[in-house]
Amino acid sequence: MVKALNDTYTAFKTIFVGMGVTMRHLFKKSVTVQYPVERDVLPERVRLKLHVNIDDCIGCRLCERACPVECIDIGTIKSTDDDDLGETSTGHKKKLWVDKFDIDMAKCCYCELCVHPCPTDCITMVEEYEYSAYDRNDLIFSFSDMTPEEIEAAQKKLELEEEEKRRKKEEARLAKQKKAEVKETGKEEETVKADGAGEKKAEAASGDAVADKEARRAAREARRAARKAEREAKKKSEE
Amino acid sequence: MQQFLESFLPAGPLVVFVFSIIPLMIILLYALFAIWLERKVAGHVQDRLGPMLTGGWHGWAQTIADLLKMIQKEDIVPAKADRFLFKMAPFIAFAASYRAFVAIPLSSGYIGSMIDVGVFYIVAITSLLSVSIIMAGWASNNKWSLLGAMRTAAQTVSYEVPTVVTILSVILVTGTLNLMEVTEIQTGNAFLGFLPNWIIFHSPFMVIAFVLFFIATLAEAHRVPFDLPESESELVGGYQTEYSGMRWGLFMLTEYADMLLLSLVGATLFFGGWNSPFGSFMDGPVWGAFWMLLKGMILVFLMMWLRWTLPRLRVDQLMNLCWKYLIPISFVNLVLIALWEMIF
Repeated sequence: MVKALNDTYTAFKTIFVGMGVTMRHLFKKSVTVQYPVERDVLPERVRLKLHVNIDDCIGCRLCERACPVECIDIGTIKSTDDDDLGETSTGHKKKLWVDKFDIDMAKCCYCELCVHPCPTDCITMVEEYEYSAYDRNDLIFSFSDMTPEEIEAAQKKLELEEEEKRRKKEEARLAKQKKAEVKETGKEEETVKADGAGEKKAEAASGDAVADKEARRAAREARRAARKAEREAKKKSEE
Repeated sequence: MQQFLESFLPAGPLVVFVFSIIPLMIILLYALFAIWLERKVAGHVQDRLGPMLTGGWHGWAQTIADLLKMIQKEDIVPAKADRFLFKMAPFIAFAASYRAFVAIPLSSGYIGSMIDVGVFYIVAITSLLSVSIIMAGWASNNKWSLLGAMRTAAQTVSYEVPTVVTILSVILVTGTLNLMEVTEIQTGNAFLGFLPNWIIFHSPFMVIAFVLFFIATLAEAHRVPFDLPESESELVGGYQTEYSGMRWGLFMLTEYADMLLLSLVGATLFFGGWNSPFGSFMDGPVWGAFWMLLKGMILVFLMMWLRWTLPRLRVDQLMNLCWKYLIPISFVNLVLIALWEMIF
């Protein structure tokens, strides 16, 4: 009987306490954020979609190398000497055309490792998180602002310049070779002599420390000379 | 009311028809509102918002949208089910609670039928609800459904006793079973000079009687903490498991209609029915309907409030509460009320 009364009292007490709690919450401001209409303020260091300010990119590929999942794909073309690509906003000289800067956000693991190595701070994470797509390929974002024609033009220009450089180099080399050929005959005999002398020396001076050192140096020199002779002989045979 | 309708409608069956579908209109509109309210109450109790978009203002049209969706759904009957019983059960369920509205005086000008056995009729006819639930559970040919139905049978049979005994204690005071007369007895503002002449203020034991009645009706309406027949978290959905589309919707409608019915019975028996709480101020047939429905809605809100406060009882706890607490207390209370009546 006493237990029953006690239980009844406890039951009513706890029910009223519970009802008090629910009533309090009924008029409390709800925590719901009406998402498409209103949005939560994101934390400062939030890691979301990557964005590249392509004007500042110098094509150094540091971000590409830092990426653990290889979701960044950069292609560069060297600029020719007569082209001036300008400077980035951080004062770096731009030397490469960035003809391709694709980031596959489907692969991206949001580690932010690519953001920190960038010398010009051009790759950043922006507060954008509504870019879901029906096709995985739609998640590859291209940041390069070069048109295919521009890329082709840059490539052609570079090829022409390289051709030009190669030609000049070749000419310079040929000129050098001519000079070298004059001395050639005398030099060959000398190197053979040195070779033989070094070998003899090395054999003789084993045991003595100083002599050993000298012998090794001599052997090294001899080997170098032999190699040089060999290389030149090869070149000759090629020609 | 009937005369009033006859003044502008051709006499005969049409008047009877219009007269008899008034509670149906009230139930349907109320169900639309109550389901929306339930979701709002649930949301705000849990610091959420509930439906917000459908219809513009705080998602008021959410229930209408749900209803439209439900009507379009396929009417699935399980292959091994008893087709006839399976299809009949929701209609019998709704009919049971709708029929009980006949004896409820919605205002001083409207009562479906002035039958003298009013409350007795309501108690008898709502028992049909458990029959329909057992029908649904058995015909579904599903273990969960059957378990839910068996629980319902046990629960309804047990909780009918305290309900009837507390109703009886009110009948002791009023001396009539006709709910219209019960309400008329409570008219006026005599008690203690300022309190309305309602039965709940009649004696302190009446407050206990009301609490017992409210707990018992919660169980009769299968509301939390007594929602064992459905118990969606353990019995999948109880007797509703195999139902879908509008048949399920009818069960839902029945549940809400039942809530309103029992709340209106409670309001009539203890809170003066269509009587205004301010004596003759704001009185009359139209205001009467307003007060009646307001009192009913307050009790319905109380049920919702409890739903989001209390956890569900276990089966043994349910029986324990009924047989060891509610029934003895209600019998003692009945005797005390009888003594109070003799002395004063």
